Amino acid sequence: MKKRKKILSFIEILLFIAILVIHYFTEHKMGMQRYVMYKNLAFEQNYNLNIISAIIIAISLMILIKVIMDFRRKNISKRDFFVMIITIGLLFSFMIAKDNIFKLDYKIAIVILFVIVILHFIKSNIK
Amino acid sequence: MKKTIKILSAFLFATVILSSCGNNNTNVESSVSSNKAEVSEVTQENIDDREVFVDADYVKDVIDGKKNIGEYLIAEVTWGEAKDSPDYLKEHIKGAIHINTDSVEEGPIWNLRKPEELEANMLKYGIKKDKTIILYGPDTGVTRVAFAYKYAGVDHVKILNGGLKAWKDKGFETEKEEVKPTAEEKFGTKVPAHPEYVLSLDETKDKLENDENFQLISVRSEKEWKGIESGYNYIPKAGEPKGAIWGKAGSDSANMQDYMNEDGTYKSYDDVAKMWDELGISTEKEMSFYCGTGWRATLPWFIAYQNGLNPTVFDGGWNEWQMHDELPVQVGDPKDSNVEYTTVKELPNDRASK
Repeated sequence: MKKRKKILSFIEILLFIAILVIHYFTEHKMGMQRYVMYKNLAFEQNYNLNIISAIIIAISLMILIKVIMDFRRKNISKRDFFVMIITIGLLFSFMIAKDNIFKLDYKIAIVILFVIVILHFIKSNIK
Repeated sequence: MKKTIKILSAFLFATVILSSCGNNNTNVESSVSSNKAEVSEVTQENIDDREVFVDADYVKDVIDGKKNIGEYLIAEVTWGEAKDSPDYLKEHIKGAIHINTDSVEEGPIWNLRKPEELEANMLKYGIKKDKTIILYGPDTGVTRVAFAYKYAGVDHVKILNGGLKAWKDKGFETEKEEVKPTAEEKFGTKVPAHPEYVLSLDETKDKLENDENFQLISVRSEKEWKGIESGYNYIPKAGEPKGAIWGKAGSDSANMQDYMNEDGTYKSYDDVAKMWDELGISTEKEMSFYCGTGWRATLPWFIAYQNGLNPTVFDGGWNEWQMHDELPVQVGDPKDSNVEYTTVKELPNDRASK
């Protein structure tokens, strides 16, 4: 069980780093910036962003409530609780502020943060 | 339950606070410092509008006041801010400001910006109609920006032939401190003063269909020309507008060896005209250059323009063309037997370059 938790923690850290690396290159490399813009456009054309946003918010809120209840019942550790609060807080911040935080790559950041939320929820429920 | 509500309230509060911490990203530095052109005692000379490419001695004489061209501005052009330039903060021509290519174009098509945006960005950089603008840069971003300024209405745009290397080869002085531009208030004419330099997608389509005197010239690499790859990681389809002819360019979308000498200077008009002749391009007919997003096409435009021709640039290029499903496309060289004629819709979406 500990090994599984460690692997999930490692993946979460890599995903956080990925957000920062993608953001750095989006800001400083022309090819990356244009690629991200192209991907944003393709994403908007192929998917209904309102439905995807609603799904992400609904699932994140359910996870948030469950985590708070588990924390009160002392079913999850303080560390897991605060990591989850910070991650969901960041996720909602990106969803509300959109391009005010990351001008072009906020959609990518939202998707990666949502994956981290799911992974962390799974991890915090491994006994 | 009360504790749960308190935690939820705190979480929502934190989310709102984080969301309000946005950054306002602007393309152009608006802060300015005094950077006025020195007054020369040499009599101001008439400047040839069509003389675009100048050598390092010309620029040096301007800086030293031996050549009086009136008000002028020297700038290095690269994509991004000064800190993103490969060399601006390491060394640049003394007094040169940095210009971001994004100040003249915007995605996702990467056509020239709307006139009011173009004008506002030029004014922030201190650019106006009657100021001579001397540009240099490591790639065709410099000809792209120079073209945008000519289109906008700057009378005298010069490009340092050979760029920073030519300057350094002469042993001329460089500096590394960033020079901030001095903003101007009025451009001096309606922007664009020369809309005739640019062809839109509809105009290009119409001319291809109805004008026998029209030549749409692809300034792209062989792999792009033959439809093997798009040349860009953000363009999924490969091919060319049906009816285009090849004007060559270089080994890939970032290089222009066919228009440049080994020392980094641009080829002479005679050399380029000879190449065009061999490729079946006539300088007697109307010439319109295009590439992927509008950078490379501007180099042959200037070579032709400097030599008295009146070419145009199809600004949208292949990027805009491949965004319209109904448009006709050729995949392969029309001189070859295996050329295919189809439409954008039928093209595969896996031809983006890595």
